[in-house]
Amino acid sequence: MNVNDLNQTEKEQYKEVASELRCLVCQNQSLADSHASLAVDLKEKIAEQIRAGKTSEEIKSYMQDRYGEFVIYKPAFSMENAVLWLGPFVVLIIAVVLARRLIKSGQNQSETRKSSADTQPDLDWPERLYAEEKKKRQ
Amino acid sequence: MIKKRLRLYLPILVLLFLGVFLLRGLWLDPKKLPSALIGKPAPAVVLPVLSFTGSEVAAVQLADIQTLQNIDALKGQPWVLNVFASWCQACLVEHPHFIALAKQRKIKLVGLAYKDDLANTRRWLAQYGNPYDLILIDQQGQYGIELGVYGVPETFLMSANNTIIHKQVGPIPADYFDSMALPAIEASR
Amino acid sequence: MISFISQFSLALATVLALFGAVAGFVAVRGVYVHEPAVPLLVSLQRNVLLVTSLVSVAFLGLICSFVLSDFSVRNVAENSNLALPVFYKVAASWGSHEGSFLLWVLMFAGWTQAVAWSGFEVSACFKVRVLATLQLVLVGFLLYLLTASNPFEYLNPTPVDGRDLNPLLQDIIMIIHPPMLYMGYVGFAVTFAFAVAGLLEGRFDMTWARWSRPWTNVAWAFLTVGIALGSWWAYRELGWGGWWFWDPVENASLMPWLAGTALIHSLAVSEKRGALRSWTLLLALTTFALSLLGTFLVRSGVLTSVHAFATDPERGVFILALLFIVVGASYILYALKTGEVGQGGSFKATGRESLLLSNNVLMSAALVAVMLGTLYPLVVEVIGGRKMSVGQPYFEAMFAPILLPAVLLMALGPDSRWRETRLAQYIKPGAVALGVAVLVLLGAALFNGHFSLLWAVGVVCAVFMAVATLAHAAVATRKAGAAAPESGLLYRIRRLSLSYWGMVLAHLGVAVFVVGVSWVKTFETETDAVLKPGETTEIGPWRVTFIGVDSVQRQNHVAALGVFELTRGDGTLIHLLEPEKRRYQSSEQIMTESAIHSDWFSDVYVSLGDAVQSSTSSGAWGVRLYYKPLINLIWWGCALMALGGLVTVFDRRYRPRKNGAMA
Repeated sequence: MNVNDLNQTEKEQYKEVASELRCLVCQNQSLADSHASLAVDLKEKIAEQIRAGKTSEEIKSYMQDRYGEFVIYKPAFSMENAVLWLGPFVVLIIAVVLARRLIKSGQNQSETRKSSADTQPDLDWPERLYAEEKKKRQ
Repeated sequence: MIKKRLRLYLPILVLLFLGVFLLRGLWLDPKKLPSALIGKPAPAVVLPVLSFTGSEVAAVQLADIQTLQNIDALKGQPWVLNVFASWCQACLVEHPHFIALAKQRKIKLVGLAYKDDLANTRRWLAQYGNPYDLILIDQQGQYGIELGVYGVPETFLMSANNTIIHKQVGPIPADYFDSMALPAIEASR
Repeated sequence: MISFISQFSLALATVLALFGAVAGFVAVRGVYVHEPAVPLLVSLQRNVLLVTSLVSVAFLGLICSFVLSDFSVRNVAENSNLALPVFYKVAASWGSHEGSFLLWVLMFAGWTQAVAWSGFEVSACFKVRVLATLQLVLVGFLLYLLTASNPFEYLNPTPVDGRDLNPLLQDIIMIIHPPMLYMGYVGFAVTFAFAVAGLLEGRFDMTWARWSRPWTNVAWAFLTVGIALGSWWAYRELGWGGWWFWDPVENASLMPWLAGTALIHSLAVSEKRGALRSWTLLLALTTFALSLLGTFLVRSGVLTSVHAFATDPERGVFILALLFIVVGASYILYALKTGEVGQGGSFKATGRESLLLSNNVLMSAALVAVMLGTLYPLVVEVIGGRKMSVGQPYFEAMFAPILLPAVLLMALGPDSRWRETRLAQYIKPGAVALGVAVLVLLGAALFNGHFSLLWAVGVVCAVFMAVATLAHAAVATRKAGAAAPESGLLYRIRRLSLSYWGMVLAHLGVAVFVVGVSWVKTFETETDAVLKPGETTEIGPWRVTFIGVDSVQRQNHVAALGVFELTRGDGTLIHLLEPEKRRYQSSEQIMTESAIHSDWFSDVYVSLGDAVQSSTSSGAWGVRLYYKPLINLIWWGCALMALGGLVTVFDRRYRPRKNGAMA
């Protein structure tokens, strides 16, 4: 089944599937981007299956059954991959918690001691420039 | 107090943790893929058989190939499926090992001529010897896809009831039968 | 002869650098006030000059070997040949693993030299420690270069002609890309050295933070340019229309960039308010650590990537050891000494410090996402033998929810005040900006006749931030001249510090970038066609007519030159596009050179596929066409960001004062 024989909707589905599957004999390219002989074969297989009415999920399963999860660029949402999918958000939450604690402890500190940085009134600099300018012209 | 200590040493701990994996990773081959089909049945299809009498090649017409082989019919004893091609350099490395195995008659050898011109396959076999009890033809590579083949040579070991129990990517070693095939057959019993 | 001199120079440089570093560290301990340290500093500066000169000699030696086609040097034989144009021969010096590492070492020596020459005002002891740290790290790199990665390795028997420079590298952008990247990676070593010196001294003043900033900003600017060039090159050269692939090597450069962005903002807090010092120190150490990690990932072969240099495990072990030693030592130093750094000023949740802190929070999350995505397959394989892939779908899913809040918070930045901002101050500028953003969105949606959620969110956030930033700049400019109402615009602009303008430019760059990305991802179109000469097809608002294919012989390759006519709607605009398919003689490698027509913002992209081998359609070729609206905003955005970073360096407060006092 040649890719060029697909109609418009089929082509859309084809592009989507081919870009989410990995070329197994390339360094790091999707099937869509690769011209390797195996990639061409697999792409024709995809086109065949699309014409046969399979969904994108079914086609990806088909490939995964034969080539393993390595062929899928999107890691599965499984317990094994929990660290991968949840990691960044866990870090985000931890970071937010730490940041809030930092802010709170800073506020508590200011009640007990004055750090040298607090002795100067901290105007925003346009105002500061204005004040400087004014002083100069007086 | 301890918590603060721990937080300070966290970066170095992360570095060590990461370092272990990076070190180990240096010796892994990122290109070798384990088979997803171990323990699954060999896909049951019918493939054309290449007739080969061992003599010099004549032009092969597709109409000459009348015999078909059902993979299912190969059940009954463990057998080896070797995916090869005349255009494959690495296949020449392992070919003598298959010839030796064929002479010892230890296990049934089936060759899969993968994406190859039939005349070239015959010529190659005539030149280097034919170790196979049966030569199946897969000119479009379709059966290869069913098996999860991504390069040549690859060698599959099937159990007596056609379950894929081992896959070798790349040329087989000289002691393939003793070091890989036998243990796998034992383990699958 | 040349290689002998070069290798000798490198060996001598190693010895001298080691001597300088050790002597510096040891001698500075006997000193604790300014004046007596000055002679020590002067000696160390001389040492640095010597080392830099020697490394430069070695690098020049490599270039000479290439230009003279000295094939007794293996590196030259493998990466160049007699037919290669001189320009590319020079560039081939850093086209290989060994050569590019020599470039890295040269850059490192260069940055150290810049630090040695610069007049920033910290104590002489501090400067000695900074230079000694840099020299020590340089020794590590030089040792690696001389033992495991020698570009001057002798090749016997000497071949008559060499192989070739990888055709992928025979391109001007590809030549500038590594030096820019390395300037960035290595530049972060300066902030690293500042942090190490600070930790060693134990006592902290805010001048440490102040003087780290310009170095960090410049390094960051270079890294931005380096990454952008790599992306732009891939887009133009690889023929698939893609510009970012989340390839491990790309991620390897993105990680220090994210950390560097966090560092820039964290340093601002540390300088102005003395807060977050401990975190900033850790970040300074980590940013350079990520540069080293990046180098390791690229050169070791641990991860599969399109960019892989030829590798072997021994090389990887050496770099990993280097990474362990340098980063490990600095982290241990951090754990032991950071307690002495002390707390800084306090601030409320609504103050500018909090906004900058939130930038750090988001950048850290993004950094973790990229690192996880890149290294997880390796970890999983080492632990369980399981092979999996993490690609575009993962990274895009992680980035959007992290980046967009960051863009929104950037809108609040300029209006915020240190320590505390009354929420009311955000409302008026915020409302105006939001209104403008929504209007722009509606206008664009009507014009394009298409609407997608991701596009809408991206555009609204970016325009919102851009308008807020510009509005603040306008108001500040007006206020700056308020005391002198007759002053002109130029005067007012100059009254506002370059740090401020740098921030405005860089933030606007981000907005432009986000608009470009959202727009092109939503509206790009692609067509595959098989065309016979004379046939026309359409892509976006353009019509493309295939004229034919010529064959052209050039110095080191043969090209099939396709000719296409580009016309627009009413037929009046015509451009000629000439994509090529090149076969390089020495390597038999085939390269596609796409033809791109860019107006200021959008691109039409034509790529030659394969000639159709069939008797019925002779002369027909497979062609791929892309229309990429607003894609150039991506690189304009990066350019603005880099410009912004660079501009801040010229701020008044970084210039030495006559009486030596700080502002």
